Amino acid sequence: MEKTMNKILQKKQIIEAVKNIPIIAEKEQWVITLDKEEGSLFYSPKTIPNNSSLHQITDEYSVYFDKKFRPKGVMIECYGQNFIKHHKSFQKLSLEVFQSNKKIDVADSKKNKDKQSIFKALLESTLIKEIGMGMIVF
Amino acid sequence: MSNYYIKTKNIFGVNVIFTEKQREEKMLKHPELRQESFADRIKKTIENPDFIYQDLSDKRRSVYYSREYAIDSKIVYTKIILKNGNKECFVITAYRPDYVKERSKTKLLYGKDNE
Repeated sequence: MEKTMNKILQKKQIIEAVKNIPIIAEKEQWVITLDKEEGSLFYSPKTIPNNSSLHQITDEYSVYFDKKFRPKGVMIECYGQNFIKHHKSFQKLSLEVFQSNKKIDVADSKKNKDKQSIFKALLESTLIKEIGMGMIVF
Repeated sequence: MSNYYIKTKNIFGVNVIFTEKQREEKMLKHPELRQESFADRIKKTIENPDFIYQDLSDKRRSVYYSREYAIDSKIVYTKIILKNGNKECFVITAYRPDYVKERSKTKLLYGKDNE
């Protein structure tokens, strides 16, 4: 019984934490990074802080949290191979945002500023929508 | 300073290299790679993994896992993505997730993943 209650509380805590991502991301100036070698997309500060730990949120993404359960970065594994196929609206936008040949492509805020803002807003709403649809794995 | 962060042999006796340059590139987004103790866990996982999956997106890669500990019945793993070369393997990255992305999605190459 206690275990079940703890799990419900943790689930609520995770949902609230994910809903706060847009505010935290703006405050901490998160950037979008596509690691083409690893196949992962990150939405996080340039450096994810020490002592953050990675937790799966849905089948599509996971989040680095600090000790106080504040989000410190989003990681989407198999971004090109999987996520984009399930989320068609990211296809064209990704090509516009990630234009360099670097294996780790950090979206540059000076270029394509509008496209990056659209990308971030779309990503934030997708993350929140997926937990709202009960896709949370916990 | 050595160019190798880790140099060892995997469970099949093949040389595995994790360069310092590669670690520095990956540690910005994987804070685990900044922890000194994690190097030891990576080495142990390469040498003696609990299970290995084929990578989801690239068949020339394999993904090594070791079970570390459990929090509220969720197991935390050391995960290492390896690129297989002809004579040696290279570590692409390593981190510590509380899930196995490849489970039921790709081929289990070694060991048992019975969670």
